[in-house]
Amino acid sequence: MLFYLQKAARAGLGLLHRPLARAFGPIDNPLNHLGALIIFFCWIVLISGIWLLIFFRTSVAGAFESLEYLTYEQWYLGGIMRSLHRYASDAAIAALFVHIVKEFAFDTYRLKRWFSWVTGVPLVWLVFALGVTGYWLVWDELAQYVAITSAELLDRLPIFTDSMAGNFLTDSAMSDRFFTLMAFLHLVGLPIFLVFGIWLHVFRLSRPVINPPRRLMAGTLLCMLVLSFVFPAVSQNKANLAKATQSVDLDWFYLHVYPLVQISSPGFVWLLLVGISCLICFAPWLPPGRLAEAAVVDLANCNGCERCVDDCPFGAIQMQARTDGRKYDAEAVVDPGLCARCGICVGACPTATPFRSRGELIPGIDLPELTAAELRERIGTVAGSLSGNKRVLSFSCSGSSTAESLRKAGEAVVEVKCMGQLPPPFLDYVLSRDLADAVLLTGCSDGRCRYRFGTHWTEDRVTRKRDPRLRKRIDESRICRAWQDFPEYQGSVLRQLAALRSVLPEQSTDDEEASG
Amino acid sequence: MRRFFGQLITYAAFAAGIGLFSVWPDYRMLGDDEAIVSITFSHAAKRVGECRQLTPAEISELPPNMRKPNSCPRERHPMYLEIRANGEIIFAETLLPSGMWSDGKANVYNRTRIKAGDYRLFIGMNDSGDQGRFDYELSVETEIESGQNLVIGFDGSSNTFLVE
Repeated sequence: MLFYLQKAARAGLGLLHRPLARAFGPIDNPLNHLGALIIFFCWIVLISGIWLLIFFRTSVAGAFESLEYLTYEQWYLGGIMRSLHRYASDAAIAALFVHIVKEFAFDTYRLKRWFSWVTGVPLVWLVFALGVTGYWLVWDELAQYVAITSAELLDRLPIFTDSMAGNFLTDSAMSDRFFTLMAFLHLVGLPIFLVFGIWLHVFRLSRPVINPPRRLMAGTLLCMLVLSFVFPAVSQNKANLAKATQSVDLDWFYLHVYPLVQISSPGFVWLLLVGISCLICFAPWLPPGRLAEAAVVDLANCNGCERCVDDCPFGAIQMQARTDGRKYDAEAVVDPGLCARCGICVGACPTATPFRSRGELIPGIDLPELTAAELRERIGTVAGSLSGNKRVLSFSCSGSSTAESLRKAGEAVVEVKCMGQLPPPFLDYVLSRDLADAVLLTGCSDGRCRYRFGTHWTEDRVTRKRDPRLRKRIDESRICRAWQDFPEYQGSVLRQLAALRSVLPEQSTDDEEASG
Repeated sequence: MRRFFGQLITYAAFAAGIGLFSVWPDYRMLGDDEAIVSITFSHAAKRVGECRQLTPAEISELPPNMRKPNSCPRERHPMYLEIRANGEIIFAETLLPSGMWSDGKANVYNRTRIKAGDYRLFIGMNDSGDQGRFDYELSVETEIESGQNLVIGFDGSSNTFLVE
């Protein structure tokens, strides 16, 4: 069930991704910066909100009038700020929705990512609460509808002794103090929790991406500015509690649940919302989930170089004073509670070299699920099946389904947990030992990596920008990188493989005869 | 240039989507010829029994700091509220007193859709547990306009219904 849901979500995102990738390229693709875009939209909301606050009057009589002044008298600034405030809030919800779907679709909410996933749930509630209180403050017909329906929802909870909704049925029951309370919630209380929630959300991630690319920021801001001029946000008729609201122009981004209160009941809506929230919270532990053994440090081979600490995407490795009395200053320590079992640390370890002739191949840090020694053995076995001209050995990460597709096409594939697990000396090993004529590295594209930086670090290592670098004696043209934005689109991998073969020199016929 | 147009189209679609769904489609909760009758008030119903004078022996059995001459039951009766419009019941509900010991006020909140027009409204409430009669009642002729929010309340100090 979950598998098919994820597959459907991937297919849906794929439809969105292809045109976006064409228009924006891989770096600026908005789908790769959803979290950062949400934070950027929150900045717009904050700055525009400060401007609105300067002119906003927290009273029954003043709230509506002050916003009317901003919208019509000060349209060139206050009106634009108000529109930006609304549209950036709506954009944040849209991005939030795609962000959640994307993390779910690509299964990046399990293992050690559970913390960000679960802390994201209260964030969603907070963002909606901010939106609802914001609409409340306008005190137009929509605010009246929002106030009554929200109060009906709250009345369903065993919190208030008297009916809260009863306060919104007559003008005499309304007081200015209520607006002060709502303004406090919207402007101070909820935003403080939101900032804290965002911090907690990215707390266990190393190098969290907070800002989207500047071009994307400029583009979305310009886009919302134009929208604000062309289609400014305005209030509906002033709230009149003596009248029943007959129809409202609903903001469906924030208020889509509200009609459900009338169609069903407040109790059902609570049940639905709390049920969905609980389901989302427990999703990381729903089948098919599994947790292998965390990375282990071998002190006899650990020289305390700290590369694993730098590369770990989850901050699961720390350095501590040497405990074995060897001459090095420090040693790496893995926190199994934070380790995602991706093996990126192994790929960063300078001692993970398959060329060792003496003793066992045990690097300073290793992944028990697939050790460096097992990886070397696996390479030997798979490469042994290669024959003929233009032998290509493919490496694929387990997060994408490219390995399966390549196997179906009759290609030799070595599967690793994450491409970042593959130390560059292993590529050197394959090519210099003539195990293959070329190597294809394929897996999730940067920004899509289940373990965040696996593809990024691999790319940097192979292009000799990051340690451990690929040795200079290796001809880069024999290493093809084919990162996949969407694992469902396997055609491009096979095309890139064909392109790689086409540039490989023909081997001598003697070799062919010998192998035949 | 192709990329530029691609981005232009994407941003335009993004803006259109945001602008459109922030106000459209409108949500209609009432028909053009409909109004709302809202009922909202809190009322403490009568207690289930009268206070009883304790005997000296019963008083002496009580802890010294809790001795008092009377024993009053805390529980209150359920409250029954019925509203009829032109003889047709539009709201009828038995409301339980709040509180762990059923000694608090009973709260009523309800919004009922009704066709606009002239009505004879009857509001009856029983809070003494006597079946078959209303302790408080009000009959009123009223014209309910389309889109009106007619609020029915109860003034506990004068024990009368309020219709506004």
